Amino acid sequence: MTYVRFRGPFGSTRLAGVGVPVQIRTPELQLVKTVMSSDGVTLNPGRYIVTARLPAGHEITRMIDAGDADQTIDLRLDTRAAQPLEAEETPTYISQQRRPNPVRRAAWPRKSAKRSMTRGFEDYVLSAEPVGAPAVPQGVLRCFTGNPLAGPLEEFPPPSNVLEKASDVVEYRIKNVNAVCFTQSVQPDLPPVNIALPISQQRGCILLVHRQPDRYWIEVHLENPEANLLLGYQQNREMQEEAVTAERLLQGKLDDPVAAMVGAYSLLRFGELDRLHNWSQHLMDWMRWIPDGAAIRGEHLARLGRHQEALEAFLAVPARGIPMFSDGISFLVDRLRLYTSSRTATQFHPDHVAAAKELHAKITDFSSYVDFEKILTTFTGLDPSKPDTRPFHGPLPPGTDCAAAFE
Amino acid sequence: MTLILDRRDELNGAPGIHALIAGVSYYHHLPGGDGAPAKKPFGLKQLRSTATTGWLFYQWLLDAQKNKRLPLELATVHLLLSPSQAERDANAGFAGVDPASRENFVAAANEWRDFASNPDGMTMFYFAGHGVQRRQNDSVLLLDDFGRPPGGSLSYTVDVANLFDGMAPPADMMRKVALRQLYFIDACRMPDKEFRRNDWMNVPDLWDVDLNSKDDRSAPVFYAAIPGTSAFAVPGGQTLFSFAIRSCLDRIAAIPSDDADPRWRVTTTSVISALDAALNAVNKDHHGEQKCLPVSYGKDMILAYLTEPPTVDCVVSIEPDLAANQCEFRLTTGAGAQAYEVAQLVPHPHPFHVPGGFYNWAVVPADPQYKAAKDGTILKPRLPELELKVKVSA
Repeated sequence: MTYVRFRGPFGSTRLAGVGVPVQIRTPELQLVKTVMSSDGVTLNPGRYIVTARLPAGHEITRMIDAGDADQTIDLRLDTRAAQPLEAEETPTYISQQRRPNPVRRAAWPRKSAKRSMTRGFEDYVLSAEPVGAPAVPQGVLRCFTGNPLAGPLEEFPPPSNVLEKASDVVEYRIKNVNAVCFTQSVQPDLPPVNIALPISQQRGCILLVHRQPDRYWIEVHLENPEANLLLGYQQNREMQEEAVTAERLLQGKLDDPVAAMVGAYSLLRFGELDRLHNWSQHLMDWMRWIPDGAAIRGEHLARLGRHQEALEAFLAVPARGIPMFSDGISFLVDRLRLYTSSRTATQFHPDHVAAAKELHAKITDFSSYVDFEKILTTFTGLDPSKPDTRPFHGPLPPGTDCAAAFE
Repeated sequence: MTLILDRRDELNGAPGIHALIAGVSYYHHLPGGDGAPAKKPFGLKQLRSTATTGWLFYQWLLDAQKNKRLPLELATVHLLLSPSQAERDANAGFAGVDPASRENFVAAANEWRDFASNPDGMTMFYFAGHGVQRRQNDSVLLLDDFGRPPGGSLSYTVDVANLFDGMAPPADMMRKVALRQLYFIDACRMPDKEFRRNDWMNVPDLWDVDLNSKDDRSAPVFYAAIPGTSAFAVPGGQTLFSFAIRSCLDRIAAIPSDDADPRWRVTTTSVISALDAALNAVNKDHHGEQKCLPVSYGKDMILAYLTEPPTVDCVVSIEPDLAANQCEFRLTTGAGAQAYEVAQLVPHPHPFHVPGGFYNWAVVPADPQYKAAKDGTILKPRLPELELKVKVSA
């Protein structure tokens, strides 16, 4: 028997010790085990193939000849003596921006073109688009706290001290606080984008500002590295890895409610209803200000067929605010639509139905501006309590100057 | 005929796959149709490839059944197609297939659900045609009599949410439904200003939706378009999404076995992981701009097996590239059989194709200033190709 340890795959101090799912197969590709790289594994003598996949799409393959002696398998992608900057490794390997498309044609600059393609299953002609971009993009970051469903949000000072800096990435830390918060990116001629900040009293989050030729791109990462890895797998649709990572995350003793929410959403996505039994109630009661706890509990109960309790849980959401994760908004929209339909509404208390109709109308309007491709709740509008799609024009409001951060 | 395949007697109660496929190219009430013009056509036009897309999915199912690639036997297929005249002229197979009208769809869907009453069974749904969204995350499918007067604008359509909710395990414990369900929604999700003006246009229910009992379905929904965007098609051909899905089901999303059955397989999660790359490759080939949105719901499930390991397009590149024409490259299977060998890696990067699996590779430079390299790796389908980078510099 051989005991095999894994080194890596991450090298930065921030991600050191964070495990990724590792598949161990025979050369005939028979699956032997799936373990986390942070764990060791005992193997019978023989040859094995070890594979791991990182959220941003990097694949790692190693071969092991297991004998009698213990081994350490190096899974690191970057084995340079100098560790990569803290600010480099997270965006490179755990990027939440969908991984770059290897076959995408150059889309910019673009000239007018007549296409033989059918768009919307109708013929179309691409019109000319601007080919120039400003030398230095302009933009500011702002921060808000409050409940967009209840009225105007309170602005609070955005982060000003850069945590880490690489050539085209700047990192800020948003401190831990017990409140639903949003960051807003305002850039000329684009609709302002609001992103929910996954923070709690226990943990803050990391704000990454990517500089691109014509704009800034904002990414939000959880401070909890294991939960952040899971979020990366979610965003990049690496579902096999997501399932293993979620299970592992929830096996541990979690002192971080937001990380627990990330794991719970995964369990719901994978239909692990029985495993969620106590968790969803715990999440709802644990941090009574987090909207997602109520949304998760409601969806869990709905899937179990306990619809009265599910509706009561959903109705707890508006007092807490908009869920931090877009799945929570989807659950609300879909379930409330069903619960308020004429056929099923008769099965609920009329007061609950009235409240559900009001909430459904609010959340449906709000969801019109939500980007459901994003895991964290992301929506447009200069006033987060009145989302819209209008591009921003005029002098930029006060906030953290993105351009200055890169100087 | 709507029920175009019925093998229930042959299966004798064993769980099987029940498919409902609808493809609409010809719309009676859109410009160019034979019916009274729709009052609110939402700017939509006749289509030329979506009925063919439905037909091709049906053909894929038959082929997969014939080659024993499906996770269960194919039990029934309900097929509804409304082809354009050009599609009808090009394909004699459309003759005898009922049109995808609202009335036919409702009847077929209800029968489809009744047939799929074995919890161990599986359902597949494929719709190709026009679609709209009234609000974000909404999806409404337009049948061939969309816009037929009188009545509301969406009287002859189907709400995907109503379809999905109606397939949930019923509260009546005596009624059952297949717990493996697969949905392909190959339609646009473009909002129209009319929906803002008229608030929420109603879509008649396909069926009565009762509150579900424990919903432990595996029921992924693969939307061809993300909310607020269009789907694309090659006129007279098929939709880009169907190209990508077919590519995933036949090769790109194939993964090695993780159970006692050694066959490579395609699963919900493997398709979700591979679909973007597959669609991007199709976009590149056809100058498309489509983005899709898979929505997972429930546990992973096997969608299809492969009869043999998938072909993997590989490219090996040497660093420094100057050494490539002095490097021999050898690839052997895990059992030691030669799989590919070349004396010089020319052209460089060097393309080759092998069946998926585990391989040992070796790069042997003729020039002693470079160092030899060898390792083992699993080769499995990647787009545009799987790249093997080898460093031979000392």
